[in-house]
Amino acid sequence: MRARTLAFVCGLWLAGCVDETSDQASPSQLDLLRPGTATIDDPIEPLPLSVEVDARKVALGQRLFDDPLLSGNGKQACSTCHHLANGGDDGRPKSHQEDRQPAILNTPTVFNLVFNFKYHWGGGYSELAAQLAVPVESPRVYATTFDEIVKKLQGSADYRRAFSAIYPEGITKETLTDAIVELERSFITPNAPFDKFMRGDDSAISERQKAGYALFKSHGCISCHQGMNVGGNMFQKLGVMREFFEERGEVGPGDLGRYNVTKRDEDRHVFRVPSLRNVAVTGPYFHDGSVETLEEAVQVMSEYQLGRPLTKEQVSLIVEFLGTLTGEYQGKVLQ
Amino acid sequence: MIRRYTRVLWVVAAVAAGGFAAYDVRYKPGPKLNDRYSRDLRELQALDARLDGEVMRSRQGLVAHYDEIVRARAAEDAVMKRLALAPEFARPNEKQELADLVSRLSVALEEKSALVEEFKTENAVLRNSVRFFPVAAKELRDSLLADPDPDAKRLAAEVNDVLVSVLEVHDVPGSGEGRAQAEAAIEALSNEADPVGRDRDVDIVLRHAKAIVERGGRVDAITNALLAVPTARATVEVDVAHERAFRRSLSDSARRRIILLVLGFAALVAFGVDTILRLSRSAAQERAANERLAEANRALVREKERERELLDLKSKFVSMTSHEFRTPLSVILSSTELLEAYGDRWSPAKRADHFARIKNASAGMEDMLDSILVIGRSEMGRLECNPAALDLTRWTHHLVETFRPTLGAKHRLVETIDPELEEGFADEKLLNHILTNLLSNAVKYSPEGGDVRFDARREGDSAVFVVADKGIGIPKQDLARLFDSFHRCSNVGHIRGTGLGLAVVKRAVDAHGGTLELESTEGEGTTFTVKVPIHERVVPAAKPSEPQRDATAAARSS
Ligand code: HEC
Ligand code: HEC
Repeated sequence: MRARTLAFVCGLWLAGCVDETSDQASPSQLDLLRPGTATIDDPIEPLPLSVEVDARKVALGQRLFDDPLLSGNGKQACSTCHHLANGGDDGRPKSHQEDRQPAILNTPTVFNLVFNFKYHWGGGYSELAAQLAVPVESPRVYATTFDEIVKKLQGSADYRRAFSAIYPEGITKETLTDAIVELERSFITPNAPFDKFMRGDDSAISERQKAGYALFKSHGCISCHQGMNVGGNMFQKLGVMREFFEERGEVGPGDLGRYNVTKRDEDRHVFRVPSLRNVAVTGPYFHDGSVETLEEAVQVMSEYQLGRPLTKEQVSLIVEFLGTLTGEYQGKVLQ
Repeated sequence: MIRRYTRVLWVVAAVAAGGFAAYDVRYKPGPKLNDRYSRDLRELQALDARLDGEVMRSRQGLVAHYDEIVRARAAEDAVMKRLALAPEFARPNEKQELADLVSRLSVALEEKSALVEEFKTENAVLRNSVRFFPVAAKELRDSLLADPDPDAKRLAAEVNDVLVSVLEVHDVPGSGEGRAQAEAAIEALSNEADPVGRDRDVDIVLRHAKAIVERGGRVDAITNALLAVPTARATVEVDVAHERAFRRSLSDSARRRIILLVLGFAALVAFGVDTILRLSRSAAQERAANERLAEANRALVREKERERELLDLKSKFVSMTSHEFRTPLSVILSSTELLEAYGDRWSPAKRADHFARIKNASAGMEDMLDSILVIGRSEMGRLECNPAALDLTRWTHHLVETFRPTLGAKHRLVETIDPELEEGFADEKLLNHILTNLLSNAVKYSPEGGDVRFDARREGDSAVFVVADKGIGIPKQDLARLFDSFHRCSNVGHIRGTGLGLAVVKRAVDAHGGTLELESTEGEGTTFTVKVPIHERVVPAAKPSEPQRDATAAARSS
């Protein structure tokens, strides 16, 4: 009987064997070939109003982000250094946590991460998932391992339930990374006055701020701080036009920038150009947190990066413009 | 004979056809598979072209920001991740080839990516200077020209030289001559002693002039190197290899289908012949086969029944024993707990009382376990009879004396032990099982009291034991199942028991090759008469005669 069925199925299958050789990709779908869309007139684009994320993963990611349980000594959370109500950083030159080695770099913001081309001051990471290993393992941050964290989380019935509701495989390095990365993807700050202005609301920013924007472009800041994130899309040496570190002296390991990643001499003091989104609330400034005020930072930039001085008035115009880049997180303007 | 061959033929052909079909379904280069890989390759080509275009437009200052370049690079990385997975239909050597080519492509893309980063950095600075330099230089020149000081005029001329030559270099890139000229003008201006106090402005102009001359050349070199990275060729190479594998697997699939067609056809023909042959088989053969089948079926049914009975027995056993064990166990438990808690405060008498309870309960459990073991062994046909020389008279006296202390006030044991009993060959253990069970039953089932009569005598080569009581007797309807395990008579009322005693007795008597008779009147009493052979030759390896088992065995052997 079984054999008879088999023979029947074979027959059906044979009947279905029509030639299928003509299945080629049609080369007509090359929509990707359209030319670049930017025009010379708008070197800064507004941030999208939202990004698509999985709300459940984001909620789980937020719990992990805020939970000191993950750190090796149970005392730090991601939010210890990355305050989400403020600029996504910690407002200090360099953080130094209890029983941890002091940080050698200023804490950067975690806002608008997805629009950066690389992560960290030296641009050592291209993907957020890979970057997560740094806070987890660094002796300056959590000083722990993923295995350790997974073990701790598995000790909590609450976390076990929360994970298995989303991931059939439960708590693993991969699922925990996925939840945090999904959260990080959701860290965007749309609706800055400048974005509203770009979207056509002419009254969103003042005349002085518009003048500041014009100066930002004409003075050349735009050649490095550009694109959607007003930065975060290239590397530049600090001191392009005038040696910065020669004048400052005392070069520490944090000052080497990209050299720490590539070990190439030409990458000494080269940094990812930071995003200037929300810059008014992310002081102190620069990789070493050495500059307290935005005015001073703008001065340094014009001296060392542009090699052309700015008057006091020009500086304050630019600073006023930079103030229009402060956006909203979850509907609240960053402080 | 022929039949056998046709059958083998069609089965083999059908199995082979099935295998081929399964293989084909798995490895057929389906439109989707091919589509995905080629689409990725086309996308990569498109991204690469877009990247080149953006770089060239940036070089000319036509692009406002690098976001497009960044996005194209990220998209390329995503595509490369997908390309690393070779398509299913590729053979191992083809997969290897594809992997090699993809890794070559990936090396090229990495090289290009590094150049893109360098381009972005250098070009940004260059663009900045290109925009600023003419403004700054003109402003300086004009203000110097407005200065009446003749030194200022000279300086203005040099500034102008720098302005003109540097812009020339920028507008006509790659001209070595222009470059040398510009460098000379810059050199001249930087060596000029500044008589009019404009060092700072001159310095700014010089910095930007140098930036244009140096970086201009560098950016061009980077752009050329970047456009020369053979990413496009490497992509085409992957594409060609992939296409070749795809074509190859298509023709393989076509060949497989032809073979499949032939095999399928062969299977059908052979199957037809086989069927016809089968139909012409003799009716008698078929009937015989049917008969065998029916017989096997009946055996099966019997087997099933027996299985069910065993199961039944087992479950009865479990429920019974667990119940029966629980009572003594709880006595033991509670007495030990009490002893533990209060033992040191109790009088010795009270302590002894609890120890006695524990002992009794344990002894009861041991008895029951004994019974269960006996029944179990006999059930498995392993209840052995090992007769040995035994002074029966003494042994019987001893038995009675050990039993007597267990009697209460209401009962009396009246024994008549024939001194002629003397030596015999018997299994002491079996005899013990038989007689203690009968005696304790006699006592237990005469709740009103009265004499229990115990006779032991010799009859030729046998020993005869009689146990008689004046108890409740055995109802007629219970006689048939009297010796079944766990069977309890309908008139036992509240008298406790396991239903194992008589089952043990019966099995022990059987094992010993003896006979068991009983005489009973309900309400008046019961008399058991056991007769066991005690001469040496009788070593009966009596297996319990289970009717069902015999039937099964018979069915199997037939
Ligand atoms: C002790 C303070 C501290 C803590 C705690 C901390 N970070 Fe950071 N974070 C930093 C510093 C400092 C950097 C910059 C490191 C560098 O550039 O080498 C950084 C960089 C980052 C970046 C890259 C930002 C960018 O644009 O380059 C991300 C993303 C990030 N952290 C996420 C996290 C997450 C997730 C956690 C929790 C697991 C965390 N951080 C905990 C200090 C901290
Ligand atoms: C040659 C490229 C370049 C130019 C031109 C440039 N910047 Fe920067 N900017 C950088 C780099 C690189 C850094 C990071 C330096 C560091 O942290 O050490 C930076 C940092 C900054 C910061 C600090 C950001 C932070 O979060 O720490 C501000 C503010 C800033 N730039 C403003 C400006 C302004 C205003 C201009 C125009 C006057 C300008 N920049 C021109 C490359 C540039």
